[in-house]
Amino acid sequence: MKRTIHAAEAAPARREDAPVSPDGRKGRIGKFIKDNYTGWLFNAPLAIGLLIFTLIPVGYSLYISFWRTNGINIWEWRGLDNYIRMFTIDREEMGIVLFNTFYYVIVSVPLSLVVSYLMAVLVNTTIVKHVNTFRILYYLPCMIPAVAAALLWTDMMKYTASAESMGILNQILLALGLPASRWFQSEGPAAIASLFFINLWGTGSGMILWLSAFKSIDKGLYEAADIEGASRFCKFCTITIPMSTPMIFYNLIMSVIGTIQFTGTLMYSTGALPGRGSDGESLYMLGVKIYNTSFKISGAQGYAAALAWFMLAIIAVLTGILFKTSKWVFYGEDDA
Amino acid sequence: MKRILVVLLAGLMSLSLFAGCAHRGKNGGETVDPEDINVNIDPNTKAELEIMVPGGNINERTMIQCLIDSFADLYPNVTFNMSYVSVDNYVSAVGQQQLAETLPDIVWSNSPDFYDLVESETFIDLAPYMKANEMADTVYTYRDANGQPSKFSSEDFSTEFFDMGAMDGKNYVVPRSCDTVITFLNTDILTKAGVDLDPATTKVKNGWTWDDFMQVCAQVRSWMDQNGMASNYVIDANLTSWLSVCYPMLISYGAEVIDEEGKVAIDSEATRQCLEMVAEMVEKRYINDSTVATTGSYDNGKSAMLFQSASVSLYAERLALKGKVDLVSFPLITVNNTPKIGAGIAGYAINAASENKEIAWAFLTYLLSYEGQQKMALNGLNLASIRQDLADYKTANWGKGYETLNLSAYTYGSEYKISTDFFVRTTLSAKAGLQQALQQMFNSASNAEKAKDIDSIIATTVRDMEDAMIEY
Repeated sequence: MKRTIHAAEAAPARREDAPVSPDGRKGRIGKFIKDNYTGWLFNAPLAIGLLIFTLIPVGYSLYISFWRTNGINIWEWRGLDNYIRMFTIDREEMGIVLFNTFYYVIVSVPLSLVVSYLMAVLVNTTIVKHVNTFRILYYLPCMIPAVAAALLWTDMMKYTASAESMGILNQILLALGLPASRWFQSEGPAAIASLFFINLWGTGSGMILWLSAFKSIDKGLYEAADIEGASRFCKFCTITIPMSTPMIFYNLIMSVIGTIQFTGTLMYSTGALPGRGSDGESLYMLGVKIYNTSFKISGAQGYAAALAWFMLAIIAVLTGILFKTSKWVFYGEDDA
Repeated sequence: MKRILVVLLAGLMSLSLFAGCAHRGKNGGETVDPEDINVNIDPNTKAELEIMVPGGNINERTMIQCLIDSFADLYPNVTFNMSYVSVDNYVSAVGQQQLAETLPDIVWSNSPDFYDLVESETFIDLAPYMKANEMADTVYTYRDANGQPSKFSSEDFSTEFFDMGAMDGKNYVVPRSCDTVITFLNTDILTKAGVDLDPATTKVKNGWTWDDFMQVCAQVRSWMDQNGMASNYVIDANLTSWLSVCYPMLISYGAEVIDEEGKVAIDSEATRQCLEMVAEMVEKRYINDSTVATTGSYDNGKSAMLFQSASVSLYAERLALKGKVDLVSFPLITVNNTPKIGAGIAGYAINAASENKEIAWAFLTYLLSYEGQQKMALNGLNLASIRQDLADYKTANWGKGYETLNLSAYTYGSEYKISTDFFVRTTLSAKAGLQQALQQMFNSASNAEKAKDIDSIIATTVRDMEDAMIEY
């Protein structure tokens, strides 16, 4: 095929050590703008939006984390006091919050990953008839808006004084001869376990990502394995899993980040918000504490911002550890 | 040409990002001299006002709309836009709109939510405006029974309710009515349960005591159990979610939440007695265990009683309650001879950043006037009027259509009325935490499992309250 040579490519390359006159630099910038301005203009809404609605607020939150402020008219300099508060005055409460958050991360992330992975393996087949229907069915719960889902779950898990008016899940438990559960209203680990159960219904979104990873695996590898007489399990262990490790790694990181930021218990709380001074300490997590501090306490937005930066630090450390230990991820022959 | 179009299109897309940005004037927390306030504004004044009302309350919308319509007769060139706020998310929604400078000129507020907005100087102090009204011979929008401008006097009102919208001598909210916790009755259930409701002999009348109330509860419980309603509860007490019920109960027992020195004083024998009484109500199934969802409520005609402060029309017109509603005062807890009844206000405030403060005040003056109160009463405000001369529900519009019901429950016992303002004894940033701690205390006392250890509940409450009071 005849390759078109653009003027820019055809021009002789400038030597790296050649001095650049101010006029020359100006000319290059002018040329860059002239060549690219259309692209930059169309990128501008996104770039400006990112700047105004993400980067500036991020910088602003760092700034206010050093103040006692309501963001409006109270501005009292606190220096590092807000950060110190987490480990002194607020130590006990932060202990509860961090315990709940890490407990949730440690159980919820592997559980969601494994279940969604296995689900993807199940529907990544042509043996089963109408497999697309199953894919759609598994993905459907992800399409229910979060608020509607929270209301549905609250109703399904309803615990009442009489068996007839219990939620459907308790009706099932009773029909099986088991005692009805208070679910979210329980004390201790049972309340948070309700969330693990609910999260399983959202694993369809992870399944879609796994499926896309499976589809990109070179079929030639499976054909070669077939020739060698490898079993299905052997192919799964030696081809499917290693070749989908980049996606496993991506899902792992995104799940960890998302789970640490979890504020879903706000939606499952029927009364006062979870947390100290309200019911359900076992549902009190870092994201919920940040929300409560920011929006329920007058003049505490600075402390809420400091908590948010603390959360960012936790996420950064965990992400760093994951990257440092990511030698198991297979990016192709070149990454060795 | 193509390039120009490309640049214009991209520029337009970029500019659309700023569509939501607008500057709406400056904040103003400064004190105003009453003499500088014009309370008789030229009727030809042109202005556009925005008023914020609770979105979920249809009565509030209709009563304010009727005021707006009548105000248009006085100020034909003043137009209004209505915006809505969720009561559940009120403080943060108002705070965010203040920050974005999009807060309406007139804002619905209530006690105790307005306290959260004091520090941020969201609302102006209305005291100078009231003073200015009093200084004028007549105020144009202060319309009397004949629809004529009249002399404004603070003595026209139930002043104790104005105090509930004030802090440190500054009036932030003018009440649009007197809100008091009363007992709504389902006369159908009570009659079937054999409760004597004959006005001549009944105990269920204004000023009834907690002992009378418990006897009625026992009677209803027994009847419910014998008639296949074991999972229904006698009363929707709103105990665990509403301080206007539980705080007066605590005080009635002689308990204190914060003492005069601003220290936590909840750990007392009186608190213990109060919580034991709550636990007893749960044990006897008068109210539901806080971990058990209710399947029937007063709203759907399955509970015999309800503690509420809402307008009678909100319940009397419900299908399940039609012809079955009556009212009586909140039962008096006389164990310590300090019975209290929860009270509060809902009303309106003026945004400190409004550029139309005087015309906004003219509107609020109209709201307080005889004509304004009567018109609102015909459009959903079936609550006791804030005006002394409209206190009698048999002659005032707020009782219209419900004259046969005991609406005097709303006005009974002004000496017992108390608002939930205990947090003013400490730092305002503690308010949310203190409220949560108290609610949680009652929530735990209503939990049969936790109520086995009342001391532990109180100890947790003390810890939570002390934590809340550490200034941010």
